[in-house]
Order: sequence, then C-alpha cells, then structure tokens
Amino acid sequence: MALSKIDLDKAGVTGTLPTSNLDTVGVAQGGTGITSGTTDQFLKFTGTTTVASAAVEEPGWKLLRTGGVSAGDSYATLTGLFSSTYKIYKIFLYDWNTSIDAAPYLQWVTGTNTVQSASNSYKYAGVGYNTSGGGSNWSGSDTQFQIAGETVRHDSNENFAWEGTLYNPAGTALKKRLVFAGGGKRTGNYDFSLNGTGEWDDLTAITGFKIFPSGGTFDSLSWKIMGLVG
Amino acid sequence: MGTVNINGVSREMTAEEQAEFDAQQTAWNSKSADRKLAEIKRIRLQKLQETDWMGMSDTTMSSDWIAKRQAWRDIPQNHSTDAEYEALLARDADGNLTNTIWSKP
Repeated sequence: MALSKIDLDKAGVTGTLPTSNLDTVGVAQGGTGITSGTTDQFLKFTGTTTVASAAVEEPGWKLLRTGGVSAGDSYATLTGLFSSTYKIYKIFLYDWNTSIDAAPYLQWVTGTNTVQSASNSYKYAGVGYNTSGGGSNWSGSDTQFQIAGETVRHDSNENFAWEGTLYNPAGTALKKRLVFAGGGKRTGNYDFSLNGTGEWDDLTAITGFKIFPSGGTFDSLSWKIMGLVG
Repeated sequence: MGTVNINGVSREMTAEEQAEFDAQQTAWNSKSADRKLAEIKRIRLQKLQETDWMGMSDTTMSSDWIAKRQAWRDIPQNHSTDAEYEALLARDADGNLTNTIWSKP
C-alpha cells in the first residue's frame, strides 16, 4: 500500500527543509511572498483567506518627473504630467537663470499639448520683501501667471528657486488653485522673497505646464514634479 | 532658429513658434523704459518715505532737503529717455546708487 500521508507530529521530523527542493507555496496555502503581479501589491487577509491586494502606493510624495532645459531654450513645456491619479502636485523649479533680466512666467497646458493663454484668465497676487528694504508685492490678471514679484537678475552665478502646489488639476468642478513660494536676486542686485497664489479662470482639467522668462532665453533651469499619494 | 524644450528634450522652434517668440521679445524689450521708470519710482518712494520725518511739525526741514525732495518728485518730468533712466539706476560694485540725485544734500 502506497504511503499517502506522513503525520509529522508522530514521525517526530526535525531539521530545516531544503528550500531548493520546495515548490512555490501559494498565498492561499500560507505563502508569504508574491512572485508575480503588479507593483505596490501587498498581502491582505479577507477573513477567510490571504490574497494579493490591489496595487496601493505608499502614502507620501512620489517623484513623477525630473529634468531641465538646455542653454538657449526659450521655454519648457511639460505635458502628460497631471491626472486624477493624485489630487495634489508639487512643482519645484530651481537653477533658474536667464540670458537677460526677466520675470518668470507660467501657463497651464490642457489635453495633449494645448497651452492656455486667454486674456485675463490668470489671476494672481503675492507678497514679497527685498534686501533693499522695499516691498516686492505684485498682482495681475493676464495671459499667464507671473510667479514672482520681481524681474529676476540674470548674472551667471545667480539662481531663482520656486516651488508651487497645484490642487486637483484633473477636477472640472472648481477653478484650479496654485499656491507658491520662492526667492532670488532681482534687478538692482537685491535678494527678494515671494509668497503668492494664482487661480486659472477655467474649469478644464490641467495636464501640464509651460514655463518661460518674459524676455530672453534660459541659461539653466531644472525641475522636479511630485504627486501626493494618499 | 531658437530652441524650445518639450518634456526635457530640446528641439528647434517651428517657424510659428519662432514668430511667437520674436513677438514676445519685441513686446518685452519695448517696455524696457517703462520698467526702468517703475524701478526709479520705487527707489524715489523709498527715499521720500525715509525722509518724511523731516516734515513733521516739531522739526524744520532744511532748504537743501526741500530742494532734494522736490528734485526726486520732478524726476519723471526732467528725465524721459532710456539713457537718462540708465544713469539714474547706475550702481557701483557694492550695489549702491551712484547718481548724485540720490545722495544726501
């Protein structure tokens, strides 16, 4: 009679199983790993068994895009960036240096690559201060956001840095809100700070953005874009 | 042709993009004098505010300071060219304004 089962308790088996000879143990049978599936899946107990979960990203900021311009580029456009995947996005712009003193501008992109530039569609206001002892406040209603209250100085070793938070770009019920902060060196060789906000007067979903100086071209610019998971 | 950057990759502008860029540059450059005058007015406002205390009732402003403050107020009437604006905004290596109109009497 063939041996069909061994009672390990009665047999008193000891030692370590040689894993090289073991077959894969399925999750339902108590396996503790996922050998195939989708990134960000984990194991969860359903109440009766253990299965692989749907893919869930770790809560926190996730880096979506990093890059920069080449010297001489007149503007940079990032497309296919924002979606309903994340409700809040963070935009970091740094090493911003241009060929002439110029104000930094930003416009939204919708669809595949449609740059939005309707008159008076960008409303913005901000406060700032500079080391000349003066205010750097600004506001406007224009064809683009001016994302600083000063004209940024273009010296080769100067660097304008800026970060903005964009809320719910894929939503179509409310206008899009951008909140930002930053600083740099302005014309006249004074440091300045900035804090501001802007609203795009439109309900269309935003998919990307375009950044450019009011005059001249970029000498340098880098960006990092993040989405908030959770 | 200039270049543009799409998703981190540079390429040459199309003719249409170049025309739009050129128009933008022309518009920005055409307002250069306006921006300089705005900067001059900002400096002037700061200078006037710094010396407003001289006009308080318990002090007597000297005739030199009266003339100086009037000269500041008259800047837009007496200066109107780009070269004159440049002269008013000239600074030394330390960032200090060098035109005598800004100096104390």
